[in-house]
Amino acid sequence: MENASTGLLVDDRDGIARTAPLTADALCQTYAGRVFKFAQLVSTDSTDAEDLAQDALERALRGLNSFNPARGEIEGWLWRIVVNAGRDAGRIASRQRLVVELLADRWAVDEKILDVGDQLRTSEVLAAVRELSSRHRAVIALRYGGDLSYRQVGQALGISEAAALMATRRALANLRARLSHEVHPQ
Amino acid sequence: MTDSLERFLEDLRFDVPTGLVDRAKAAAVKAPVREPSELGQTSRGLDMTRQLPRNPRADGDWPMGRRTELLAGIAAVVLALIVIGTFAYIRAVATPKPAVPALPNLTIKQYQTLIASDQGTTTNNFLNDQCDVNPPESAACADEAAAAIVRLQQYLSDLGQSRPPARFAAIDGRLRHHLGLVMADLRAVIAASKTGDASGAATALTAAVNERDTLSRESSAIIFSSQETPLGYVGIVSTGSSNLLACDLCQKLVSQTPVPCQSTQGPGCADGVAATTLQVETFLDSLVRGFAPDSLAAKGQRLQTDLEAADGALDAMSSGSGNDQIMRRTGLELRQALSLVIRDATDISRGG
Repeated sequence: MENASTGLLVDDRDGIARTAPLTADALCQTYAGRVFKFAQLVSTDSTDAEDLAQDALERALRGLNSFNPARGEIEGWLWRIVVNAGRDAGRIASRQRLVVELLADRWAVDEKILDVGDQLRTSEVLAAVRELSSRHRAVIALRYGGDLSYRQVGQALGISEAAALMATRRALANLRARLSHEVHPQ
Repeated sequence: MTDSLERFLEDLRFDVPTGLVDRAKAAAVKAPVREPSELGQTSRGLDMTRQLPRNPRADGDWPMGRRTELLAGIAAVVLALIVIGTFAYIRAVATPKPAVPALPNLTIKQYQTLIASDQGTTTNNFLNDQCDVNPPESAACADEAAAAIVRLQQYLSDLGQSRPPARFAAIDGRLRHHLGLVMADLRAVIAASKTGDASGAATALTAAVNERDTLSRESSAIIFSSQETPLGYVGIVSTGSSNLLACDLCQKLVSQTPVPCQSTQGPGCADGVAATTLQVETFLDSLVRGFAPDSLAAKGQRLQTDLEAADGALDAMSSGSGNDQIMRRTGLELRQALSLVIRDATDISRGG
C-alpha cells in the first residue's frame, strides 16, 4: 500500500512497516490500473484511452527522479501529470473553459433523478460517460477512475473542493439521467 | 450518500491492456530526463583532461640535448606500441556487442498513420496495375516489379523503425511476413521475365497479386481498427467462424486421420494449408478491424490467441512439408487450436 504523506510505498502486509523508494515498477504496479480506468472514463473511445494511459504513465516514469516527497504527496504529483496528459490530448478542457462550464453548471436545471438500480452494464455506463461534456467526464474520471477525494479532484483541475463536489454531483445527475433514459425508455 | 450509480462507478474495473505498461516504461527509458549527475560526470571528465599534469620542461624554456631527445622519442614510440597493442588485445578479447538502438514505441494512432502512409505508396500503387508478362512488354513489367520492390522494402523498413502497439503486435508480424512473400514473388516475376519464361512470370505475378490483396486487407484492418459494439463483435465472430466451418479444404485438412499432411498424402495438402491459412488470417484481421468491446475483451483475447496458435501451426506446416515428424506435431497443434477457435467463437456468440 502507499503512504500518502511520504510518497513512499509501504509494505505492511506482515504488520511491519517498511519504506522503499518509489521505483518505476512500484509506480506502475500501484497506479497503472487507476490511470487506465481514468483514461477509459475521460476518453471518447478505448483507442484514445490506451494512448492516453500510455502517455500519462510514460510522463510519470520520466519525471519519477524529479519527484520529491518533501514537496508534496505522490498522489497530487502523479495526477497533475495525468491531467496534463489528458489536457494535451484534448480530453480535458483547459482551465479557462472549465470556469465557463462551471458557471453554466450553476444555472443548469437539475435533472430528474430516476433509479437505475442494478440494471447497469459496463459498456452502457462507459458509453454514457463518454457522451458527457469534457468537464463532466474529467470530474467523473478523476473521482471514480482515479479514486481521488473532492479536494484532490479540485487540485488536479485547478478549482476549489466545493466546485469539484458540485461538478461531480452535476455530472452524476447528468449521467444518471442518460442511463435512466436507456433503462426506462419513454 | 453513495447511490447505486456511484458504487457501480467505484467498482468498475478495466484490465490494463497487455504491454501498455512495458511500452510506457520503454518509452520513458528511451528519453529520460537528463540528470544533473550525468552532466556533472561529463564536466568532470573535461576538467580532468584539462588538469592533466604537464611537464614543465616541455614548455621550451629548458631545451633537451640530442641524446635526451632520441631517448624520449624511443620511449614515446614504445609507449605508443604498448597502448596500441593493449587496445587491440582488449578489442579482440572483449569483442563488444554493437550498440542496438532502442526502438520507439508507437501509439495506436501513430502506427495507424504509418500504415496508411505506406499502404498509399505500395499496395494502392502496386505495379501501376499494368504488367504484361508477354514480350516485349515483359521488360517494362519487370521494371515495374523492381520499382514495386523498392517501395515494399521501404514499407518493411518503416515497420522495423519502431515497435507496434501491443494490440497490433500479431498483425504486424503477419504484415512483415507477407511483405517478404510479395517481394519474393516480384523477384520471381523479374527472373522469369529475363529468361523469357512468360508462363513462370504469369504464375509469379498471380502469386504477387494475391499477396498484395492480403497486405491490403491487413493494412486496412489496422487503419480502420475500432472498437465494436457487443452486437457488432458477435456478428464478426459468427461470420469468421461460419466461414471457417464452411471451408471444404479446411475441413478436409483437419479431418485427415491420423494427422494431416504427412508425406503419403500428396500435393492436395498444400492447397488445404493455403485455404485454411487464408480463412484463419482473414478471421484474425477482422478481429483487428473490429476489436472486442470491453465486456467481451477477455473472450475476444482467448479467441485471438487460439487463432494465432492455428496460424503458427499452419506456418510450420507450410515450411515443414516433407518432414513427417514436424507435420505430425503441427497437424495435431492445428487440430487442437481450431477446435478451441470454434469453442471460443460459440462461447462469444452465445454469451455476447
